[in-house]
Amino acid sequence: MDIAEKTLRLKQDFDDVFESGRKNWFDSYLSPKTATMGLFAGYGWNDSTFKPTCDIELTGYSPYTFYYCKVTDLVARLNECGVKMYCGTLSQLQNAFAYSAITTVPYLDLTNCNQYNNIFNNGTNIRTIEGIKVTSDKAFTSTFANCTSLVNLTIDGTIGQNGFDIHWSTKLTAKSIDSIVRALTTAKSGLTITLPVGAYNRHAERYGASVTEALWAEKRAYWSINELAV
Amino acid sequence: MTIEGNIITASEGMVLTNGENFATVVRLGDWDSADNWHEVSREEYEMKMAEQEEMV
Repeated sequence: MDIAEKTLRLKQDFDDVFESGRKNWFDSYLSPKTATMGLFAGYGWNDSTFKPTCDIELTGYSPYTFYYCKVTDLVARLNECGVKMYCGTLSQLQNAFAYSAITTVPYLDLTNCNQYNNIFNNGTNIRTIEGIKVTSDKAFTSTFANCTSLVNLTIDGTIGQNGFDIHWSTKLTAKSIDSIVRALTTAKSGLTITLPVGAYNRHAERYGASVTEALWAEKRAYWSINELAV
Repeated sequence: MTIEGNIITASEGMVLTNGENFATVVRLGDWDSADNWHEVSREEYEMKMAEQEEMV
């Protein structure tokens, strides 16, 4: 073995040890927990340091999960690492993405989450929430407050409580607006939702005035559908 | 504010409220009424929002 081969071998050994240590640390860090509060909070977590080695289950009392985290495209990072992030039984996910650099949030099944309050609150860099699966018995209090960059959102399930407010997200696509309005319950009346200003017109431009009018009319018995300028 | 059919639009610099929600355009549900909505100034609205933000 010449010196070049030895150097290469030494580097490989070093990398193997480093990767092994990293895997052990992550496996231990992500081992089953009863709560994941602040799991990846802080500046130290970025696209270089965030390399999970096993699936991430958000569980229990979990506010501030990615608070001030500097990871950018969370979906891409999870895909590159070959792992998934999913929600277990959650009591809280308040401010989970607040002041983080995260631009994309993976699909989150929130059906076992006790409340949806403030989940994306102050997630000012979030551009895409791949989807959220929700149930009609929980309110969306300040769930999307200050999500000023949000463009894409898919709602899977039913919005069934008063006060859903997403008016900060002025860049929402017509498709996202369509997903939100179609998710509004028709099982009970007396409810109010607040969309970004121009939402009705944006929907009409994309789907046609008659489709928009029919959709809004379908919900009118149950909802006041409002718009609010930032 | 102006009312056209089931649509209420806030005056310039004003925000509509029913005491709980805020809007610049309200598309009234069949159960709702224009009587439930009144205007407040933008400043009042922003003060209320700041209060809510502090509570979070």
